[in-house]
Amino acid sequence: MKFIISRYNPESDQTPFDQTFELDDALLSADSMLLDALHLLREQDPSIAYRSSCQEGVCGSDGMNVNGKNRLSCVTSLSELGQTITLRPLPGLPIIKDLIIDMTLFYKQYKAVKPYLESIPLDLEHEHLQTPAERAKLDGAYECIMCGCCSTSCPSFWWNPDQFAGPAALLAAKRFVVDSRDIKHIDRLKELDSATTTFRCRHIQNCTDACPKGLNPSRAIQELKSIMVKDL
Amino acid sequence: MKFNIKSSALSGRKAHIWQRISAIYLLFYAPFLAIVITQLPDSVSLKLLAYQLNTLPFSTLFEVASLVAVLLVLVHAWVGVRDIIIDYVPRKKVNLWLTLYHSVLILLLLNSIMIAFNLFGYA
Repeated sequence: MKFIISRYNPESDQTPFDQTFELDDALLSADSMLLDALHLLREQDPSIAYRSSCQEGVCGSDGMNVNGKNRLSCVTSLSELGQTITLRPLPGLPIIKDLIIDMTLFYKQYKAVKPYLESIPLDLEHEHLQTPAERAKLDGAYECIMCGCCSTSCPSFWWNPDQFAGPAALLAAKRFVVDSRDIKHIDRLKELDSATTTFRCRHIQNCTDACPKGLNPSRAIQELKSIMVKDL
Repeated sequence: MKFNIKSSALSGRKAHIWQRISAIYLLFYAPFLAIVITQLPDSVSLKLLAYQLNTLPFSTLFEVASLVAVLLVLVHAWVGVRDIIIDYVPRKKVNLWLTLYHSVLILLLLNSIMIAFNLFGYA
């Protein structure tokens, strides 16, 4: 199996370049994941840099561009990738080294939408109840693992990552806008009402295609826009 | 560098609403325009066109609908092209291009109004 990996070391390289590696198929099994192959490749060349932590699709740290599509290497089966696999860092954000990107702007946008509940002072003696219908509104919005696959596949985020919130942050924003316990509903909508924050999304749906958790940020942003039109 | 469009009256939600209102209006205006064109002779000059339009049974309705359509085309284009400028023009030149674009739209608007007045004989 052939791997073409984008390499970049800021201390020695001017620009990223591709390096080809070969991996013996005998070392891999039918259910091997891409991350397993990367671990084996790092035995060949310990300088290959990539992130990984939980290795089971929960932490979201091993996002990378695989054959042109943003994926999590730990939940991407090698069997679906063909004999030549091209690996690049997630696009649109600065490269720190090889497949590791600097996600500062991504987290900055996430922080800007205040991704936490702003509720009335809680009575710690009682649960803060929701009806099943109110709780159901959060489905599809709270499961995000912040891997960045969606935002880094979005052209609007590539152009203006410091101004457009990006799909991940807007998905989080929608999660708290629709939460029945949040008391800053209107304030949140006002802060999101900008041509560059929310309405930069053109719904090309790269984010939905890339999400390794099967979420639909594009639809969430559409719903967010509809709520803004109705409630503001 | 921030774009100077957040303070604009038509940013965000308002631009979104206007773009949809204009799109829906033009969706209905386009077939109306097509019907009017089919009622006209094959070849007429601009002056005769104004005369022909005025002889149509629904000429007043057409005139008003056309003026509104021109305004809404400009509104629709304002939002769409503004988005393209923000996306594709280098950051440092965005404000310059937006100013130039707004100037062109104002000129187009004035020109459209003048043509409409001349065409329908109100000048």
